[in-house]
Amino acid sequence: MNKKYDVLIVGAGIIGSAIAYFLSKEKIKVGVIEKGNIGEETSSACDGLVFLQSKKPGISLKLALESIHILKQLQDEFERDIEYEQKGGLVIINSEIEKKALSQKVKEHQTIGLDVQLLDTKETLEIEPFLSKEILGSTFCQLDGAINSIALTLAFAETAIKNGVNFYPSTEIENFIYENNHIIGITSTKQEQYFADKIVLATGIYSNKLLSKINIQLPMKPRRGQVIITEPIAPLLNHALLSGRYLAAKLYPEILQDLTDPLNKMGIGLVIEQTKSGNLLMGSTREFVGENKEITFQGIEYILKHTTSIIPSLKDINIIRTFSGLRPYTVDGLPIISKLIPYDNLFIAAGHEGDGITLSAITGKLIKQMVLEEKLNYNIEELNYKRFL
Amino acid sequence: MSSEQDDIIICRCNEVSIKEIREAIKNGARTVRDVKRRTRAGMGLCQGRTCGKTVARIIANELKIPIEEVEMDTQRIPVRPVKIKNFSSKEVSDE
Repeated sequence: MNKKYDVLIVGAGIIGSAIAYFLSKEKIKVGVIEKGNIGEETSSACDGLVFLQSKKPGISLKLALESIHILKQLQDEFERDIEYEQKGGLVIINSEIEKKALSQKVKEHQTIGLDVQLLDTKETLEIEPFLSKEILGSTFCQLDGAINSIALTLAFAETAIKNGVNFYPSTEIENFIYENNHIIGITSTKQEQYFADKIVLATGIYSNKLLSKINIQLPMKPRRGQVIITEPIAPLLNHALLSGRYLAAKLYPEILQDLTDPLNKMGIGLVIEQTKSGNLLMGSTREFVGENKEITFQGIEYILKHTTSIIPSLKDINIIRTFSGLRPYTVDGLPIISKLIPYDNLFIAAGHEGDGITLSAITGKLIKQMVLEEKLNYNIEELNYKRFL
Repeated sequence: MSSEQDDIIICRCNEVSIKEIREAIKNGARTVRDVKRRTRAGMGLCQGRTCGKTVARIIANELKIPIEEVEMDTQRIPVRPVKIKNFSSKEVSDE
């Protein structure tokens, strides 16, 4: 069989699956090759927060706003329940310096019209009664929420396949096929050939390995996040929670510079959410340890210690599972969504680090528009890989 | 494989039936983890320690491959449910 596509997508994680979904609605022939199976790495080893408060005003926030708008529509369209709930999000303030940083952030967000409020301790405990009385307050955004990242990845992919996209699991790229310095397809490690007019790389942390074949390298590296799941419990949290520490550090990097603080060494920025099934999800470390995906006792210990300082009543709850995933970190914290010049038919969508779930929908839509040479709704020059050259 | 077997519960923790597991395999699941992501079988209190082997057997039967070729789930801590206070009540050690 001759495998010839208008567009060939490499990778079926959250980004590749979202792209496949948007392209599946067009009258073109689309193929997806995936070295394992749908969403089996980073996209199923992360938290499900869909947050606006954590985004800087600018392109990230604009894209996140459009993305949550699309996700809401998809919640109704997809057969699979993606468990998207805009239940509101709280960023917990634990120290004076965090308070200073986050008050400033709230003002910035309010200036551009994002509805975020600064709450004091009493106001926070009124809406989230199980939090520690020691916290100094929180910032609240009603548009924040959480989603089931595994279900979302599967829903994108399953719907794309139902719409006619050809999916090839257990298919890894061995090399690109060239004709007159032009990439016209790929060869798999099983020596099968796939030809395509356009190729989109949605290869997350594996992008550089692949790009080394065409002498392009991106300032992107894997960052490990360890996550813990508890047994299902009765509803405890009304909102999705984020600790202020990490966000505050974006404004005041000195917060994280004290490396004698073990939490800093692990880069922990806490996320706590209660999933639809009642389990609590708690994460996560942010460690640069290459492609090592091991769970460390120390990582688990730090996350739990930090969690119980925010929600003391968790002490008697059982943890049942741990996992870790590698997030594609970029040096400037922005994803890469662009053509890979000089190859004008090669595209990349990667490097979303912790924003892959939130930005999945808009990334899929943008790549669809780029591939079909439609007009983009946003100026995304900032996301072009040329920024690193 | 009669239809009266359809309602048999394979994952007791999350009440996942053999029918749902077969459906997941029909839709592309090839490993125990694939089935877990699609159906939540093995995501409950016992973390697949009870049903993991059975799920592997169903995959082997459906795909007509030897059970040894079915990729099992990875095993990670904790090996059984552990109370959070066991981790967080003492001071965090540095190394």
